[in-house]
Amino acid sequence: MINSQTVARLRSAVFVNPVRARTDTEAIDELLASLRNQPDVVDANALRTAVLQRQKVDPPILPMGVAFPHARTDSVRALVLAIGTCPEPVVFGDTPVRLILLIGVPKAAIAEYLDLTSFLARHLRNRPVIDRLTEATNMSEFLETFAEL
Amino acid sequence: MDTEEKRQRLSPLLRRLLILKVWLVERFRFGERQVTLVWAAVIGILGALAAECFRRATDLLHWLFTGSEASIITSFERLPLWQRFLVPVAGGVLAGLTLWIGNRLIAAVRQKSTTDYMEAVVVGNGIISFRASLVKTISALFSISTGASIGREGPLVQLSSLIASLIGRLRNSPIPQRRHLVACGAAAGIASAYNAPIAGSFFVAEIVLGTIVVESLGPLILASVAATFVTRALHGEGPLYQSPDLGLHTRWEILPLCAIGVFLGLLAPLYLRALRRTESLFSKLDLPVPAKLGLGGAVVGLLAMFYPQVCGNGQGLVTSLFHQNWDFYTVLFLLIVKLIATSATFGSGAVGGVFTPTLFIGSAIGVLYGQAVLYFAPQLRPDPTMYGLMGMGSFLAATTGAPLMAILMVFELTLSYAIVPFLMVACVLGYYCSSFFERRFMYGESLERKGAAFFNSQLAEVDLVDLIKRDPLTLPQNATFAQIAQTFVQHQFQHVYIIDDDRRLLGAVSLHDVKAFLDRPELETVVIAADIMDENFPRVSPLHSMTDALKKFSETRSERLPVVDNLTSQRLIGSISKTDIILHLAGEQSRVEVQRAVSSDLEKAPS
Repeated sequence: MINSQTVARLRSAVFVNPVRARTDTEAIDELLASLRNQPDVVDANALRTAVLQRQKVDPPILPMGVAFPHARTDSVRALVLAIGTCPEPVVFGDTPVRLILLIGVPKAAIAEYLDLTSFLARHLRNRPVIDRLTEATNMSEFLETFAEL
Repeated sequence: MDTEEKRQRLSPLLRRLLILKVWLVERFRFGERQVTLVWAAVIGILGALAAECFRRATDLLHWLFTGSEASIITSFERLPLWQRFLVPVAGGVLAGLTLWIGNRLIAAVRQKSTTDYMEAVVVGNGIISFRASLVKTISALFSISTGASIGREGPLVQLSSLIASLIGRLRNSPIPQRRHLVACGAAAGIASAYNAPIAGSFFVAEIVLGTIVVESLGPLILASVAATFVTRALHGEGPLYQSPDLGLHTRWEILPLCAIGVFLGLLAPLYLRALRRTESLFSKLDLPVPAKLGLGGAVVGLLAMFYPQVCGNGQGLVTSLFHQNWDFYTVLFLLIVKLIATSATFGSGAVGGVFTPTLFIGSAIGVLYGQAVLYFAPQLRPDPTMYGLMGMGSFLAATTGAPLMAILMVFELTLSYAIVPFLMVACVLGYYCSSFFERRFMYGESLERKGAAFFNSQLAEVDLVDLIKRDPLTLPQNATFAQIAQTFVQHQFQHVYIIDDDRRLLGAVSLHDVKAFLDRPELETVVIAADIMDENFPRVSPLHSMTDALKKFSETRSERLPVVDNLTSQRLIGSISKTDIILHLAGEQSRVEVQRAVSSDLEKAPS
C-alpha cells in the first residue's frame, strides 16, 4: 500500500522520459540536469559530486534493472527525486538498467531517506511492475502503476 | 536474489533479536552505566562472601589460640592470667613476622602498586596488589584472632576492595572506572562489617570519594545493599546494637544533648593526636616489625590480665555498655584502658581498623557524660544510653570529618529513629568543633601522607589518554544495512563508528536512527553505512582537556564518543565514555583537596 507521504514525494518528482544517455554517468547527469531548477536544490554541482562519490563506494542497483543513485547532502534543502525511464537499457556497472531513480536527501533526513528507499526497494523487485513503470510516459501513469500495487 | 545478496541478508531470528534488543534498550535504557551497576552488585556479593571467609578464618584461629569458640572478651575472661598476656604477644609477633617476610618477598610489587583501598581510589590507579593484600590480610588475621584492640572492618574492606580491583583489571576498565569499582568494594566491605548499607555507601562517598554525586553514589549503594543482603542471609537481620526505647523526658534535655556534640568535638582532636603520637613513638623504636607488633600485643596482654574487656575491636564492649548498668568509675576505667590498648595496637603498626574502637570510645564518653548530667541535673531524668549513642555519633563525625556518614551509621547500628533529630545536631556540632582545631581527620591524615608521595612522583596523573578504551566498534563505509544491524545485535553500544581503509573516522551510525527500519529486510542490501552515517558526529582528541571532552558530550545523546589521534588526520584510536569523565572530574576535586593539604603541610614542615 502506498502511503500519502510517499505519494507526495513521487508527485513532486521530475519525470524524464526517455533517458537518452548511453552510460551511467551520462544518465546521472541527465537526471541531475532536470533537477537544476528545483527550488530545493541549493548547489547542483555539489549534489552531482555527492552522487558520483556515492556511486564509487557501492552503486545501489536492484536486481531487476533499477538503479537509484543517491546522496545524503546539504546541497538540497528537502528530498528531491528524479525518475528516468530507459527504453534502451543503460549499463550501470554490469547491470542493464531500465529505470533510474535519482534521490538527493538532506543530511539530517535519515528517516525520510530510509522510508523512501525501503518503499522503492520493496516494490521494484517484481519484473511485471518494472515493465509497467518503464512503459509510463508521464508522472500520472507512473503514479497510477504504483497506486495499483 | 543472487547468492551474495542472500549471504548478506539478516536471518529472521537475528532481525527479531535486534528488534527485541532495541525494545529493551528503549524501555530500560540499558547502557554502560547500567553495566557498572550490575558489576557493583557482583562486587557487593563477592565482597560480603570474602568478608564471611575472613570472619570464619578469624574464629578458627581464635579457637586455635584460646581453645574457645566464644567471643573474644568471653574467651579471654576464661583464660588463666599468663595466657591472657601471652596470646596477644604471640599474635603480635606472628602478625609482624608475616608483614616482615611479606615485605621482603614482595618489595618490588609494593613499589608499583598499593594495598590501601583509599589510596587506590583517591590518588592511585585503582589497582590493589593481590599479593601485598594477602600478606596484610594474614597479618590482620593473627592480630585480630589473638585479641588485638583493633577493628576487623579494615581487612574486610581491604578484601572486598581487592576483589573489585581484580574485576576492574579483568574488565580492562579505564582508571576512573577501576577506582569507582574499588570504591564499590570498600562500600560493600563497610556494609557487610556493620550491617549498614546506607552508611557503607556514604562512608565511601563522603570520606573516600569526597563527593556525593548520583553518578558515583548509585553503584556504591547497590554494592552496599548486595553485600548487606548476603551478610543478613548468613547472620540474620536486626541492628548491631539493640537499643531500648529512647526519647526525651523533658524538653530541657535538648540542651545537654546538643552540648555533647560540642564536648566530643573538642575531645576528638586529642584522640586523633594520641593515635598519631603513639604511632610516632613506635616508629622511633629501633626494633624489627615482629618485635614492634609483639610489644603492642604485650601492652594489650598486660591490660587484659586485669581487664579482659580491652581485647577485640570493642563491639562486644559497646553492647555491654548499653545493656549493663556499669557505674561511672567502671566505664571510666574501661575507657582509659581501651584507649591505651587501641593506641598501642594501632601505633605498633598492626593491620586493622580503628573505626569500631572509635565507636566504643565515643559511646563510653557519651555514657559518662550522661551519668554526669544525671548526677548534676536529676530532674532531667536523662538516660545515659541515649547519651552513649549521641557520643558514638558525634565522636565518629568529629574524628572522621564525615557527619552525614556518622548520622547514618548510628541510625543503622541501632535502628532507632527517635534519636535521629538529636543525633543530627550532635554530629554536626561535633564535626564543626573538631574541625576548628583539627584539619587532618582519621582517614585524611593517612591519605595526605600517601598523597604527598603520589604528587611528588606524579605516578598516577590521569589525562584523557588514560580513559580511552582501545579497539572501538567499527565498520567500513560500504558495510550493508544487514551488517550494521548484526553489529548492533552483537554489541551493547548505541553507535558504530565508520572508518575508511586508513582508519580515518568518517562518521557514526546510530542505533536510534535505524531502529524504526529494522523490520524492513528490503533495506538490508540496498543501504550502506555511508548512506546513514552522521559525518558530523562529535569526536575528541587526546589534546582535548577533560572539560572540553565533557562539553562534546552535550552535542549528542551518546554515552561514548570516538577518539581520533588529532583533528586533522582523524585516525580513530579508541573511544571514551561520559561516565569515566564524570567520575574522573568528581574524583579530581578530592584529589585537589589532598594536594592542597599536602602543599600546605610541606610549606610548614621544617627544612
